[in-house]
Amino acid sequence: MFSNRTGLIFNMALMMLLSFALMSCTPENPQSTFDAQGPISEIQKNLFLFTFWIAVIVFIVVEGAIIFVTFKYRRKNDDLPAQIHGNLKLEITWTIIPAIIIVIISVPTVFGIWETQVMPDEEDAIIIDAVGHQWWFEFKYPLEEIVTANELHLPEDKNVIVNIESQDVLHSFWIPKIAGKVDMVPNHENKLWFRADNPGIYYGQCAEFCGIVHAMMRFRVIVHTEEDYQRWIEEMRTPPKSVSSGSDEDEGRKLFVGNCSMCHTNDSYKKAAYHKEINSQYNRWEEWKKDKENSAIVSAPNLTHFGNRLTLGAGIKENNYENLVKWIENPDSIKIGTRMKNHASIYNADIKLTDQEIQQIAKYLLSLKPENETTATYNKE
Amino acid sequence: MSSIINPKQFQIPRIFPRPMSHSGIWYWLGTVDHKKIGTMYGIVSFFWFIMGGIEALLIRVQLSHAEADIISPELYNQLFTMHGTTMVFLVVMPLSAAFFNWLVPLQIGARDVAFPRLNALSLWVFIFGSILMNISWLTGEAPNGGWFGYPPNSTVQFNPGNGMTFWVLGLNVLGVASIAAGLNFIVTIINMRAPGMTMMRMPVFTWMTLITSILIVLALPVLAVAGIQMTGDRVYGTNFFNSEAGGDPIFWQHIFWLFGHPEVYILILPAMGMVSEILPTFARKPLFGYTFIIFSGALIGFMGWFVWSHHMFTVGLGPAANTAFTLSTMLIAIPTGVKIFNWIATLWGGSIKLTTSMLFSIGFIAMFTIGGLSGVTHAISPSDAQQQDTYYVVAHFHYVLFGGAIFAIFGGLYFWWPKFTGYFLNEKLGILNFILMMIGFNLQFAPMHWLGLDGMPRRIYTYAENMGWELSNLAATIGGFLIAISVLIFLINVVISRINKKLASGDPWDARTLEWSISSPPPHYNFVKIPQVEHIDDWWYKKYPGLLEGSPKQNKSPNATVEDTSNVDESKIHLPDLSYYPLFVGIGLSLAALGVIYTYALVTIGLILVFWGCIGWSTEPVNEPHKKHH
Repeated sequence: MFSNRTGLIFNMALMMLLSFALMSCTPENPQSTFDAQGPISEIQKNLFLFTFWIAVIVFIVVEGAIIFVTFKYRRKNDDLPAQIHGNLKLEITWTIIPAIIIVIISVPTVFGIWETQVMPDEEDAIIIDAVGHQWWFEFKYPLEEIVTANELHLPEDKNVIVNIESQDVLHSFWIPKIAGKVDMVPNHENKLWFRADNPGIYYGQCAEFCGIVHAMMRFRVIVHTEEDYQRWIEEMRTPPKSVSSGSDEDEGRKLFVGNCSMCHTNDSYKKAAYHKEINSQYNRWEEWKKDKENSAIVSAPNLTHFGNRLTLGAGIKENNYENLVKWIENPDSIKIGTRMKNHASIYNADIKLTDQEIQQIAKYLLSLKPENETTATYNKE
Repeated sequence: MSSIINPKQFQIPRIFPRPMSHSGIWYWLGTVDHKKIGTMYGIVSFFWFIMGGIEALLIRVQLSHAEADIISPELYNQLFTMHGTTMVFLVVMPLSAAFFNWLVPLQIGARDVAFPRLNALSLWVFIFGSILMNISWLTGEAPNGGWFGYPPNSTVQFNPGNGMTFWVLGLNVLGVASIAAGLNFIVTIINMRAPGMTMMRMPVFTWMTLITSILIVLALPVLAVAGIQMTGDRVYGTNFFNSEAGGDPIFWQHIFWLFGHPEVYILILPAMGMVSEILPTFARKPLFGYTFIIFSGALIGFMGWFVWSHHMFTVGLGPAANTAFTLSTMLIAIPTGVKIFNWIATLWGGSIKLTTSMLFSIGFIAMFTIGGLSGVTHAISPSDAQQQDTYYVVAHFHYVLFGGAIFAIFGGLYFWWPKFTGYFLNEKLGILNFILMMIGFNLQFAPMHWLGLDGMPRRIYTYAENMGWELSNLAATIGGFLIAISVLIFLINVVISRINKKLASGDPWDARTLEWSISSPPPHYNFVKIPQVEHIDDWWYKKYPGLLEGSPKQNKSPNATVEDTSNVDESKIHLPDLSYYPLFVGIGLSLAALGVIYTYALVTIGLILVFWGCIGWSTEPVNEPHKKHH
């Protein structure tokens, strides 16, 4: 009677393994680590699979032995079985076997550690400064003097070195298809390098618990062809299309300057704007630190060419008019706990924006696109 | 030098009379009997097991589908913080302590632990510490910074509410209970073994208790240091971890995991000890490789100190540190593997009876193996950069701590229940309990491996629809409810078995160690006559002396009978009287800790209680001179 039940249980364990093997064939999921799109994630995937298959062999041997003894040696009578206390040879054997397995695994592992963690030559690499904020990502290109937020643009087939830091709490920088995570730690400068093999849009997500909306701290990595990447760099240095005076966009621009621009810079296309933005971001941070409850100023994502962004709210919603209006009306309706909602005067002082004003700001923000924009292929998801 | 006051004569005035009765609520509040203390440990920690389980179910409900809006993000963060904290500090540790208390004196042939009142203190500090930590729910400010409490997110700068202060003070108080208990069991095991019980004749569970206790005594002070520093940061404006003032959040991670990794073995070694008692009993064979099992347990405990940074592979310690901790972590697989092979070899060639406790024990080996193997994949630090902080980790440590520790504890409950109570738990319900738990457990945690590899981070209260995580999450949620049903069946079993008592003899399983040589439940003095020990599994060889001569004679010796308690002169057995003082000190400590949050008036009252309790305790005679001894 029991044998059927235990059989069921151990069959389940085997089925688990089988279903695991089957399920891991879904690399199409946006954050699957099985769809390696660069050498770093490739090394990581291969190391995992190498260990995994060794583990599968051990699993089958051990679980098989458990099932075997459970069925084979069921009590049949009251006689005592042979009383065996141990066997030195066996003990030594099964001490040595795991030791050998570990030596086998450790060799590619140690190589993997150095391959993934020793930085490549900075000479011909793209350098990125990635800064974690509660709850968004700031991306700076110190050589190109470009600053943006929540969307990282990169060329294919080029080494990227990311200097990883955090302004406030711990975060973690992770692009599952391209590279495993590295934590973002205040006062520590961590480094990560990777290379993306193919153009495309990749998902990134914060992986270290960082407070109330840790779940909604995401980003996108947009990998371009070399040519498109150069074009993007150019665009980031080009002013946006001008808005005709009297239009909704123009009204929105005025409202933005009056209500939003002390935290959100949106003109970093200008010359020397890069260092200015670094200073502004630092000052906003210092201002907020002084009075975390009531500060009217907080660190905030740079909105230069926001109209070209794919998402809003740090990778949360598609960046379109409807969502943007919703976001400005009440950020909590999309993402609870944002600093904007807690500190911006439009939500906390008597200055309340009317529906029309909100729509005007949204229209203005969506109009922020480089003036000579070429139809960028990456914009179609 | 002669002291002015002879402590033997001096006693502080008693506000409450010393409890002398051996029944009723006052007896339970003042008891120093290790068995009663063990029972209370068990009941209270099982209560927290249910609370922690409800927290887990709420988490699972919220994650059952994408973009769910059932639980607010703040509450979600509180739930996973308290689920982890509860299950580690208020469930697995004290449930193990319940077994230490019940079994260690019985297994080594002692009348009680070395310091019975200190033992009561551990219990009361644990109970009030656990209440202190959970009071935070009532104030609406439950801890929300994760059971690991990483600064800066747990600092007052970023987490200004009282939640994490409750958490850190609760841990500090609970640490006192653990350290006191650890010392108590070390001294008990070293000093109070029955004559003839050398170290290498000790039951494996007692051995694992000894190793666990040594780990507790060494590891919990490390947590205490971190806890005091964090209390300083949160309450008194120190800057140990405040990055804004140059403090280092990574510093916390090193201390926390220097405690935290030995803690993993504190949680699992007692479970390994229990399984090592149950398997030989129902296979009717001695434990295969007793010495190897003991030494690999000790080695695991020792090596557990050299692996802490494998929790920090993505922190940026550099390739040299990652290599060192990768290799040291992999090494632990060797003694762990040795244990698993020895357990299987114990079953090999045995005469196996699949009782509920045996099923849980075999289930333990099967599930713990999976947790161990996924642990090896975690040790590979380059690929761990993909798995760190994902659901793969969640799957891994639940296979170790639920499939491992909790399965073994359930096995232990079914195994020793007749010893604890004098009657059996119902086996049919027990097997149903096991099957449901096994299915539910795997349904809940196996898909999490896949979720993690598919890029789902831990500690997120919601996820987008297009991530492809819905099916696995739904399966996990259903599994969670199956586990809940299985626990419910256990509770029903407890009630039904109590009503329809199926009485158990002193040795109902034909078992091996000394606790089975006395009646069930044991008398409060345990042993009528302290046994003389001659072998490992002494009771087994008293029953089957023929085995010692290697003779095939396998009949039970008629001389080996469970101790008869009908004609015992209890006045000849020395046992300490009850004491309220441990209770007062326990209450006082938690009150003082609560006062750190709210008002110094409470700190004062708490500390007065502590000091009064300590002085009263130290001047109180072990036995009231004019009363009859018990």
